[in-house]
Amino acid sequence: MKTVLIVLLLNALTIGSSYAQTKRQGLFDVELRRAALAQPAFTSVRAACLAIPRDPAWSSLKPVESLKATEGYGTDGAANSYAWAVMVLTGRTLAGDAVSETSLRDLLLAWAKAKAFANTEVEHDAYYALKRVLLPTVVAYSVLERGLDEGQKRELSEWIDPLVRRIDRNFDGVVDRNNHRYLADSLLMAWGAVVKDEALYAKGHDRYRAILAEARPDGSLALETRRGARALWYMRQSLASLTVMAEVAATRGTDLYDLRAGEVNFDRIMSYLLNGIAEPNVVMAYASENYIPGGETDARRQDLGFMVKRNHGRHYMAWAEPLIARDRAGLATKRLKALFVRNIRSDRPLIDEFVGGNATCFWGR
Amino acid sequence: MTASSRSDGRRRLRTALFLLSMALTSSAMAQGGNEVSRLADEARQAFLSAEQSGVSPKQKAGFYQVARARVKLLEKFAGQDDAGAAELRDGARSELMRLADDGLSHDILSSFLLQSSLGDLAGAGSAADRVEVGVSLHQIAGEQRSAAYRAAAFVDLANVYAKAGSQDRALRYASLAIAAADQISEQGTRGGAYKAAARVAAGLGPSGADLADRAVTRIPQSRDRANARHELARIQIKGSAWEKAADVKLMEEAKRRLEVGDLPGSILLTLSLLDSKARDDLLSSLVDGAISRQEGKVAFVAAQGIVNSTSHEKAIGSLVRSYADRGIALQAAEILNAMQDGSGKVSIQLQLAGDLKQAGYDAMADQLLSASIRQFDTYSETQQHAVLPKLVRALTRSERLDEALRYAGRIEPAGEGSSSLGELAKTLADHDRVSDAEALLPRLVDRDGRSHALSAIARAKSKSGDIAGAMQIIPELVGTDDEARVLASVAGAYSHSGDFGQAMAMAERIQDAQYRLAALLEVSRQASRQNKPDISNRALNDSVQTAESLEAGARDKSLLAIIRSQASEASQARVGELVRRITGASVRTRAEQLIVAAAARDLAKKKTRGEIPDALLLRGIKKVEADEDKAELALELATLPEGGIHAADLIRSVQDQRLRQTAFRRLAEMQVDLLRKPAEEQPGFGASEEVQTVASVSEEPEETAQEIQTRRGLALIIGDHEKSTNAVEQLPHSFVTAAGIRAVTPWPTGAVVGSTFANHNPYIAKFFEDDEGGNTRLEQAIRHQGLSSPRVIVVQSGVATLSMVARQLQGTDARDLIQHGADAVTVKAPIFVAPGATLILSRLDSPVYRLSADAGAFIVNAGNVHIIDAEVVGISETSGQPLWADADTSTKFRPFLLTWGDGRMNVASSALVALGYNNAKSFGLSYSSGPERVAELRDQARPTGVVVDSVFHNFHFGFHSYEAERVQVVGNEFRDSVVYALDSHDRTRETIIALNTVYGTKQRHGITISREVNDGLVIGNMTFDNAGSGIVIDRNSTNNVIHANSSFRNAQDGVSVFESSCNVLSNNYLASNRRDGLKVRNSFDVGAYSNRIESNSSSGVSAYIANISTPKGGEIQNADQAGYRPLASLSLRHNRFSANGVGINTQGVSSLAMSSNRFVKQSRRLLGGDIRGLEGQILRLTSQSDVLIASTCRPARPDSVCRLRDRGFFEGNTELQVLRSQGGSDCTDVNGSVQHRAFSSTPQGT
Repeated sequence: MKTVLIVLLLNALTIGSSYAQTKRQGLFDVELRRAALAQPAFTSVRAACLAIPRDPAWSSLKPVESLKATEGYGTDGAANSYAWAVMVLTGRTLAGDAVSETSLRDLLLAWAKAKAFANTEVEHDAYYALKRVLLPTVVAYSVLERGLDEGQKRELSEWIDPLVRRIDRNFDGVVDRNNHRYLADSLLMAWGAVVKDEALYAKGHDRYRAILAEARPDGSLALETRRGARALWYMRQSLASLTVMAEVAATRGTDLYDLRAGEVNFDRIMSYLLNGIAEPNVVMAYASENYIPGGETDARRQDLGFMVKRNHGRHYMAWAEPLIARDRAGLATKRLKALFVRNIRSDRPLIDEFVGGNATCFWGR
Repeated sequence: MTASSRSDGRRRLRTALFLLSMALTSSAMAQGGNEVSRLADEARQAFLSAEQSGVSPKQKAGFYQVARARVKLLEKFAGQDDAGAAELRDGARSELMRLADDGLSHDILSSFLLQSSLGDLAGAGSAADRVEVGVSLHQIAGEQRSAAYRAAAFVDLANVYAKAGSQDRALRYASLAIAAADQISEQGTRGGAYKAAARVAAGLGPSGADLADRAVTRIPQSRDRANARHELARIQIKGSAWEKAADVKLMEEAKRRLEVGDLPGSILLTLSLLDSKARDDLLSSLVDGAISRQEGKVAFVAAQGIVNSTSHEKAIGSLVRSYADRGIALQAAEILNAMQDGSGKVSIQLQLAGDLKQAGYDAMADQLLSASIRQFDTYSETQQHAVLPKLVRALTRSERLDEALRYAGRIEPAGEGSSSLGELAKTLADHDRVSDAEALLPRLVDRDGRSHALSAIARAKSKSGDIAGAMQIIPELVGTDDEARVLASVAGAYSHSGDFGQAMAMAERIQDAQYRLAALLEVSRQASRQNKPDISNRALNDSVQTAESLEAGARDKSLLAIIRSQASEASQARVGELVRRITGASVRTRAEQLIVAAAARDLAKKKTRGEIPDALLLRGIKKVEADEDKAELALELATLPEGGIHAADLIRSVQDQRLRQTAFRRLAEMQVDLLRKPAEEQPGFGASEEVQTVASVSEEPEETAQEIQTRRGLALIIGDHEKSTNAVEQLPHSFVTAAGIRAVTPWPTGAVVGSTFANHNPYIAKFFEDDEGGNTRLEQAIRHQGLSSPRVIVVQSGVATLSMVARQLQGTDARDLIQHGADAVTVKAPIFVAPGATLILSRLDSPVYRLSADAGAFIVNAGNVHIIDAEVVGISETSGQPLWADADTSTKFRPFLLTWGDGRMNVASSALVALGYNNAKSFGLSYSSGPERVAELRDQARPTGVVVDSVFHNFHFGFHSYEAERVQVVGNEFRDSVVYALDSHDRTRETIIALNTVYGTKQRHGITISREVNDGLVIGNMTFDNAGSGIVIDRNSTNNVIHANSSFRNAQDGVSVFESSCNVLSNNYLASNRRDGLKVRNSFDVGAYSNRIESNSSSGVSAYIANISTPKGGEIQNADQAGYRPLASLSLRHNRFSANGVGINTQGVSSLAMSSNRFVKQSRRLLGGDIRGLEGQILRLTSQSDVLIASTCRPARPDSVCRLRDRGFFEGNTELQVLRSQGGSDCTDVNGSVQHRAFSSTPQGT
């Protein structure tokens, strides 16, 4: 009986109550999560929030004036340390580490003051790097917001807002329609929810529907599966952004996980990825196109590097955390959970820019 | 079912699954929704079981098999339409939707199943197990519903077989993957599937390399193609010393190989380099090198590897250009079609469209032009401006001048724009649209272009008589050539108008020697014609001086031009002196030939004036050597009396077959014109000719009654002259030409080609059956192809050329069935063109098409075949020569062409040699309804087509039709055919056979119209020296018009009409045949009008009835002859009889209407047979009125319809008046009747 009551409480704290309209909106309900993390049942999760120590050197991180396009394949990593610091500190702040909260606030204010990223090169690769670093920044802002004075809020908001809006642009290329765009949409939606900009939020919401509509009936995304050895890599990345969008919607009581456009819903896209992970050759129907595949030119050697923690601390399957927590019905979730238990859970905390930071801390149970 | 090596186990599992499925089906049907959910859950459970760790591949396969079976069952329920099963259906649909959300669709499960079963192949112990596993894997792959999954599955199989060392199977699966990829709608995915197929094929030896090339060429996007080329090159150098070499080293080696001429080696290493400008530059150089060495395939590979789109398009453009320049533009079709849409493609298309238009391929040009314009219209303004000059140029060259003018208004008049406008202005002027041309002048900023345009305008003005206007322009011209052209034109205009002073002055102003020479010769010619010898000589002298001023080679050519121009005009001595000045031996020989030819022409003129005998003329003709002189002289001879025969003989000796055919058609056209003229206007038949109108002796006393009885069972019935009708005038005066067919031949595109088992194809299988002699074609094909089941090449859809077919089959297991080289395409298997598909054979594709007799090749179509400007030869591969046939070898297989129902075959301006043999539908060029197996299933259109301006040399039958319709056979030469030259047979209708020349047929007739072949026109043909008759109409063929044909020197008759009523013969020339001019047997309603019937050994006209039911041999040759009517009636009017053995001979004719016939130099008997001795009466009466010679026993008129009579082709109805309208016998049983006498006499065959 006691166990049942605890489960009911947890559900109420994590999911059910997030639908309450009075709560703050964003990637997740910050206050609710803060409260949950304070509960004894969340001790291990709270530990995951605090698992990565704060690095004092982060306070002296030099603001990056601009992100740039890279020669060849890859993304500008100049802001990697900043993003890592923000993601770690945000988790720690959520878990109640006051020092980290101060560090995070100071870091953001310093970078805001320096107008970091303001001169980012207007080129899709550079903008991709910017989107990537902005999502953790937006989450950090939402976590910090309670403790900021109006001036700080304004200062941060006036730094983040134009950067977010800037990434909502077209480059007359496939990047306007593929995972680059999904990342932008997840960011617009998250920031829109945080600052209550309905138009910004709606952009992401509408794009979510469009992504489902563009998917093939088997759940594959044409612009991602063509990427040769990186087909599953980019399917996974797209799912990360879709998950962010669905979670942002969930804080407002909107269930995008069950939304269906044409034949396709979230589960179908996820199932395609899970099938590919189970048997990579099933993606060869599309991956043979081998369009800008990256380092590995043999499409038959699917890059499953996202299944393990990366050497810079990120885990690209971090987006699985909210889905595991949500525990939705259906084989897709069941398979994801099995995969999670088998291959991923041991790597917690799962931290990744594409899902806004320390996913274990934000959603883990 | 997993592909296990244990057959028994598999069988048991299959049985269990089958029973389970049956049980599930019935159970689910009974219990509805719950069972549906249970099926779905079982699928999920099976799938999850497969994902458990520790499960072996074999177990996995079993689980996937179960999951897939459940999904299939659900699909079955979901597909039910009956209302009673609605709940089950809807439930199944919902479950399938949920299963798809779970990732469990049919194709995904099949992919899992395939992947877990692939290992079975390596594990199969025995050959039988391998076969069984192979079948199972093939089934899984082939059942993939999505083309993308199917292609991927076939690639997987190709890889597995390649690893197992089974190259042929691997190749087959790579080929199947390409075929599956063709069905993928997404461009990128399609390209990916081609790439995957190319990758696996590239490792499969030379055949694999060909297949890989084909796959790469199909990749829709150029960037992807370049990427694929790089990948393939890396595969090729794998394991070599260059695999790990740095790009710098690779580049060095590639350049070194280029320098030593190893283009393929250089290209391989260059393609192995990473994408860079240097790589693209080197590839561009390699493309140029390969083009200059005419190595198109090598050039294409290099061009495909270029990444930069501009460089890529430039390289492809150069390659296409090179094909066009070499006269094989259609070989560029695949390259052009494979190009990505864009301005580069449009530019190339536009240029090629202009080339094709110039070559007369209008439809092709229009297709490319229209595609370009459609693309152009989608461009931004900036893009349009870049392409506009090319568009205007293409429209100009295509003579779509109004459209060109419309677009020209938007051209920027600088650079290419100005030259494009200049070309348009010049062309407008050439088309006498001077004001339109002048309107463009202010926009022509390019000096040369403006000058060219002005020159054309000036010439147009000069031509129209505005000499002053033309002269005003001269100061504005900048080039000597432009000025020379105008001055030459003005000189010509002055000389035509008789102002020779000005003409000479203009000619002398011309600086360029060639133009001055041309102008002076024109002045000389005109002066001579206008009887101004002094001026003519002066102009000639000046032209000689001009020629002498040139250096040796040019001088010889100029002197030759003078001789050519003056050979008939100037004195022999003068011309001889010019010849001696020529230093080059070959030019001098040619000059001498021209003189001989001129002398022969002079003799012809003398003959026209009656100044020399025939023998002298013939001696002169024999001396003419050069083909072109013969052709030219022949046309002059044609205007002489009997000149047509001399002309035909002369043309027959022309070696160049295209020149020969052209000359024959021209001669045939002239003969038609001559024969259509009234007799008195024909050469040699003026009022002075000796015409016998009255015989010297009359056996019967003169009677004045309207009906005069003779003692021979005949009556002469006198009637009024009936007016001639003019229905003949309604006959066509012009006929289709090769140009007309060339102009409608479509551009090759969208071709889908494959191969299939020959004996499964209903259109082909017939030709693998045993023939009457017990010979089996199947055995030969098996032997040659080395396959137990021979294959046939199939053009399935789209428009293909034959070399395109060859290229598409390279790399497949049908690669040996057709070979493609620079000189010829050699076909070594039957080809079938499916309904809706089109095959083109053209010299723009290949110089020669060789159909191998040894390999049993032939072409059969139920779609369209266009043979245009092509050479098609049936060859013996052993000798490499045409496989000639005669009567003794006519049963030996030779390749053939056959058009079935629904099909069309056009043959135009082509030479077809040594085709056809003695087997049904295999005679050479045939059109036939059927085949029966298809006709039984659905209605078919009758086969049809146009055969025009072509040469058919040594065919078994040159042309044969069976239930064909509206075929036109026009202007062809049929020489040395074995049995028939033209054989329109078996219910064929509305055929036009016109202007053909038919000679040397070895066994039977020239032109045959046989067995209910109706409503045809046979006009203006020349048929001579055939073993049978020139033209035969037999076996109840009706309503045909035989008009203005020349039929001479045939071993039998000029024209034979057997058992065929209602036919009209008019204005024909029937001469020197060794039997009769016209023979009519057992036929009524036959009208013979205005024919010239001369020097035939037996009779001019022989009409009779005969008992052909019991011929000498005792057997009826043709079953339908048993149903003939022994009745003959005919009408002879306005014919001219001369020097025949007998003028007119009748036996048993029931009625013969005559009027206005003339007997000229008919020194032997005028009339024979039943009417012998009636000359006096008949000739006297027919000079005043129509006379009907009727049997006193009057037979019943057969119940038949004669449409030609209704349409006015018969002159009067007199001959029908004596036939009883109903009842009565045919008089052959009435003793004493002419019919009885004739019928009782010896039967006469053909």
